[in-house]
Amino acid sequence: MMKKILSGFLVLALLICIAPIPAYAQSEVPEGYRQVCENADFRLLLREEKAQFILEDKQTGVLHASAPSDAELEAEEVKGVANTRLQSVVIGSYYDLELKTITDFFSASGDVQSAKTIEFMEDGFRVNYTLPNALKFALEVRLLERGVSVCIPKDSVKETEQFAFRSFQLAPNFFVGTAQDEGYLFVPDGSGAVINFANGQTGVYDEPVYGINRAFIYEAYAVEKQDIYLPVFGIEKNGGTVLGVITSGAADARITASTSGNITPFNRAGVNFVLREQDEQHIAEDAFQTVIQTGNVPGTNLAVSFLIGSEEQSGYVGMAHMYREYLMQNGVQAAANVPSVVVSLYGAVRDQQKIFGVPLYAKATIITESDYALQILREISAAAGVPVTAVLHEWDKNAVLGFLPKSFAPINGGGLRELLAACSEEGMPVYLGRRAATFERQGKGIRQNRDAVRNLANELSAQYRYSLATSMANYDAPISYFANALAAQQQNTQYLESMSEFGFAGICYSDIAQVSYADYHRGSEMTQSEAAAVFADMMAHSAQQTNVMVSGGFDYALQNTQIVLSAPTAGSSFTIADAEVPFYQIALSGLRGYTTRPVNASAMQNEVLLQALETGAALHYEFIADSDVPLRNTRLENLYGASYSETCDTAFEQLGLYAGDVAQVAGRRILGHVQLADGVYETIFEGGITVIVNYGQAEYSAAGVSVPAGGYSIHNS
Amino acid sequence: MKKRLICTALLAVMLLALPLMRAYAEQPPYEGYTYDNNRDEQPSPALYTPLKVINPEMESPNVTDIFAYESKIYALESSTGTCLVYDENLNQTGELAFKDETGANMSFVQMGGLFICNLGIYVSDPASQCLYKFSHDGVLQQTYEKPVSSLYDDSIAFSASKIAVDSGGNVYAVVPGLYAGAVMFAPNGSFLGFFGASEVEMTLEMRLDQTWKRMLTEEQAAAMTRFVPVAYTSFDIDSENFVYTCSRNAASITTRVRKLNPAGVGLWDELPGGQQPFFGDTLSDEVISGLSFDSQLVDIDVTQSGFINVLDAARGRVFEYDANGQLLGVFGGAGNQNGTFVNAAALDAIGDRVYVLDAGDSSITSFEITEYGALMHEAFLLYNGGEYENALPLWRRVYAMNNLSQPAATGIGKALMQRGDVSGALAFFRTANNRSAYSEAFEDYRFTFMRQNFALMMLVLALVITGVLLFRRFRKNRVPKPRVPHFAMLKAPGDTIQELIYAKQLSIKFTAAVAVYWFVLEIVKYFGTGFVFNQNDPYRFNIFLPLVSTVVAYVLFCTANWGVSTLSQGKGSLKTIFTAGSYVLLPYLITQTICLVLSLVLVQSEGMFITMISAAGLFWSVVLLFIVMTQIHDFALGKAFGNLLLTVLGMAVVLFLLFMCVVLFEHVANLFMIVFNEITLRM
Repeated sequence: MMKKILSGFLVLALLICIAPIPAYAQSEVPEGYRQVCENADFRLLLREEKAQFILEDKQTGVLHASAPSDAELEAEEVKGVANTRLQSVVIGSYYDLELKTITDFFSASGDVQSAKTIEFMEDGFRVNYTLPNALKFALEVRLLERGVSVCIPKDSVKETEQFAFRSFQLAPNFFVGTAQDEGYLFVPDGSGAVINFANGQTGVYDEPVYGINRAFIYEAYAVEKQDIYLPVFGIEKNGGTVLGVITSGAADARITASTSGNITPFNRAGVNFVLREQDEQHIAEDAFQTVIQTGNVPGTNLAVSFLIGSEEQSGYVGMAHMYREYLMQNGVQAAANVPSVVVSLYGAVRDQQKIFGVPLYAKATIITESDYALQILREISAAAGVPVTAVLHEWDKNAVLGFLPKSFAPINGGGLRELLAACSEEGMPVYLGRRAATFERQGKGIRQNRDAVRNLANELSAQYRYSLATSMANYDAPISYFANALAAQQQNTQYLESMSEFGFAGICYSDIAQVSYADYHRGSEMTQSEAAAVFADMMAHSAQQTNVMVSGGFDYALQNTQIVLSAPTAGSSFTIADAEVPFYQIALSGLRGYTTRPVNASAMQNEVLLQALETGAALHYEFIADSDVPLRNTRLENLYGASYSETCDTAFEQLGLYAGDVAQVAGRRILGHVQLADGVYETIFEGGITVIVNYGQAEYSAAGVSVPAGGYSIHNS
Repeated sequence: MKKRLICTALLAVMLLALPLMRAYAEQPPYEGYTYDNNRDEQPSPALYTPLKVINPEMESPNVTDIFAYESKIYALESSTGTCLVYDENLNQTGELAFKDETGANMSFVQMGGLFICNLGIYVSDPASQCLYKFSHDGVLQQTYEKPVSSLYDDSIAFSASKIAVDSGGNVYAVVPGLYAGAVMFAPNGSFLGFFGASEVEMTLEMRLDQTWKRMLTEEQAAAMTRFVPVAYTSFDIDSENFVYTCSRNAASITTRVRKLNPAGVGLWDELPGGQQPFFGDTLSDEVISGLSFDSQLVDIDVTQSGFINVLDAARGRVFEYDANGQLLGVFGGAGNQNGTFVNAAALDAIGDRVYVLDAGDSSITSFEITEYGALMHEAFLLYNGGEYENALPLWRRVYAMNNLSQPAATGIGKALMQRGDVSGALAFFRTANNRSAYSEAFEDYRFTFMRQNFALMMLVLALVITGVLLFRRFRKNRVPKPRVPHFAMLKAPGDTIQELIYAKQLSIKFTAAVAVYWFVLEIVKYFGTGFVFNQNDPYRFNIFLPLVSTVVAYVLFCTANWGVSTLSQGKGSLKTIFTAGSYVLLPYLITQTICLVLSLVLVQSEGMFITMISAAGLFWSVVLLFIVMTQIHDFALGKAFGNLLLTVLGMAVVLFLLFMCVVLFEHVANLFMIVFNEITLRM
């Protein structure tokens, strides 16, 4: 009897849980749409009345619409402006430059629709919009092999003396989900995060791609959050998967996502291009004026591609695979010689020369001698069982002193050559760490007034350190500045030549792939996208001469980078998000090498080691030789866990336990990633390697596999 | 076999049905930090990381307090008048309804505080001015009402916000606005009095008010603000009936948290290292954009291991201290991320997990201790138990993860001392900035050094004495060069100054040398005073301070004195005052130099010698000042005294004028800046 009950329960439960979710909600094409073009898999349909479009999957019949259908809007009882908002293919805003006010506009509103014209192209159509105040722009919609691209060409944007565009949202309602739909929104917050449809949380996700614009001066900075590294977003709805990729103008964009009940009754994810920023110029302590960005914007086309997942490409894993394909189509090839252990060694710190204990002038104090560095690399290699890849940070005397130098001046020239020679012999590639855009002191080819980035009030964009307690700027600490991207590029060109004689295996840029900024210096204005393009060029030039590694790893750096140091491994833990996922790693797996954050800098080192196994990341350690050096109140203050003499035993133990298995998965493509239980994740790597990691506090046992709490299992089928 | 298959299949089904939870390991959305012994913030690995956030599954929940009891979290839900029960993983396991003696559901006007112990469940209802004691089943056992007593100020509502109960069943209630301490009831409900009143915190402003009040009539004084002690905001009680309190509005960072013995007497005066404990963020004077950035400590919890967690509502952070008030670390923050709060209201702990209630959305967040935090806990427990040697490997691991950790450095130092490695201990005590421990170790080191090198030292001493004697003898045989008797001032100041004046031997060069020496000495003292006696933070050095306190002060004194003495018919010229005045400084400078050297070899208990020598030097200089003034201005002693007083007044006037000039300059500079900004804006 018991068996029968159990069997009955089992069948019932299986039916409930395994019964296929209606994979694709098939619908009929609503009235008013006509076909514009088609390819093997999709048809592009247009409703001329409101310039709305639908992408129809010919195989499945699924419709990917640019706006909710009239029936859906009616069902949700959306009326008035909200209705217009949801029917719009473009939502934007513009400035009245005289009154300094901002006004929103919607492409579906009557006055905009009445003035539009439509042109048809071979692979799509173009809608020319004219707003009542004579502002003009065009929207081009083109059918792609597996999706559709939406673009505002930069030349189509026409402004007047009084009015100027502020922002554009392109196809903000594409593939939106109702509260009843099953699915989630994907946002690229750090490594990636998932927001379930109608999750009951209040608030919206609205974050700038590549982080905040550092050209602004932030007197206080409180929130510790992750940047957006990849310009993508996604919607998983009823088994259908759409990945949005910002293909142009990403650095000037924000990714937005909101669940039903927040802003609209629909679950939406999209992109908002911000063309013009505004700032306050303080005339006196208690008086300021609003300054609006001038100049010709946008500097680039504003374009988003919506890629439709195939049956095998579902969920965030499918989205990551789609993005990986996109990268490969754009020339990103698999990097060779991906390391499994990377060691960052810090050479010197800016200190004060003291006489009788009295500090007199700034000098670069060596904290890791070359011979000791070699000893560290040898010992770590021995413990890991493989030759490690090393990055020498703060090894340039001028950079240590706060300059942005144009030539390499080693802190210990002779010793460094010996170190590099020995490492080369022993197969340990050594990269030179370089801040390519940051400086504290002018000189060595950089002039603060000429080259430093400025804000809209034409003030130097001071980069402060912030109090941990108050989050307010610490005005006593040294202030750094960012160089204009072109000035940084010029310095870097000469720098590469000067370091070439030393025989480094490559260069590691520690700033330009993890900060983003515009420059509003009058006469040399540059948008964030333009600056990003310059940095991408800079890295392309570097890649022609040597290998390139970057810290952080924003998207524009990936083309010419082989290894990403300290790739994002977590999200910002926003309460609106339901889960954090390793999208970044899945997308880059097998294409680029990437490391964890430094193991020995973490309060939870075991978790970082497990992350390496889960995501195929190389282990990353950072060391200095001695713990008695004065790092307090210096740029290296956060290296509080890097003393080699104190941490080497733990590192040896960790490497002995993990390095072998990490070497198996580092650099391999990730085929699948799934949560098995609370805190337990399975990753399937190319080549039949499966890793199960258990971050939880209880042992995980299933299907003959047992993984202890805080442990992992790896097997090769 | 079939059973196994069925079970496995069932498990598989259950796993498939798991909701999508945290799908990836995370980093906390805040940076850990702590404070060093100079009360400067230091980055640190995170002590805790957020594990789970839950919201009560109901419409408009209103959770007012949480309490941990027997590995369960009880959340007082005011809108339904119930207590939600969660396990330590924050899975809801039940809901406790409160009933009166008749078995009918209790109705609360507004629920406040919650306390649970083996005696029962205690709930406050501030709106109805009652406390209730329930059985663990939720049946009403006792009601505590507003005390009817001459001790209790009848004008203050008995709206208890927090409750604690000691092992004897005595109930303590915090009543907002009541400054006499916690209201104390016997188990039978009778009012016992007040427990542990805070002292009045007297600020400078209050002292001025107090002085002013003495000059006013009684009516006028009564109309002024009353000085009242700081009221408690919350408290907790440990297994030994020690009560820990926190005060939201305490001005002093040292009294924001107090530990009271059962008699209500405060216990924490200083940390084991000799320093005064401090609580919350150390930014008491900081006002940014008109908002005070003071910590507002709203709840406190003592864990079973004796660690004290204090919740700061101002910035949504939890400060964790050991049983002696030593800060371990800070975690949490304000915001809309997991592990940060909009309106942090209450906290409690089960084992090494900390739970925080955010009254903003009634969410409860559990924090899990990190590897670093767990090591700190273990190490602190052993260290506080005197097991320095056993704690050493743990401190070593803590130090490896955070070599800025001063408790770890102290712990390692203590263990090394116990092992007899005094020089090793000295290095760690220095890193830890722990002067008392360093002093003790240094005393050992010095004793050992003396014992080992006594013969050598005696030999060197004998050689030095012989050398001096020989030098003197040799010098006697030489014809002495004529020298200006600068240092004769120290022996016979009156005669020497006269001689120098009349022989016109007062030297500008000598004066300049003295001034420069004074300036350099002040800088060297700042950095070079022996560690045991040096409280200066090298990172806060500002060269203008020694410059102003030496050379500028000297020039100002001379100028003011010349001005004053010219008016009072003093005979000394500015040059005379300037040059003669430098001799006054000689005793001070000599004794300060001696003190500087002594500070390198003395220990804390011998510090009085330095104080005495310093005071003697100062006294000697003051005496010289009087003598020099009488001689150069030809004043009697009384007139010289008056002259000096007027000189001080003159200096104050000059300083005031300088201050006014600076303010004026600032205004003019601002004006130019505004014009410049206007021009650049319009360009």
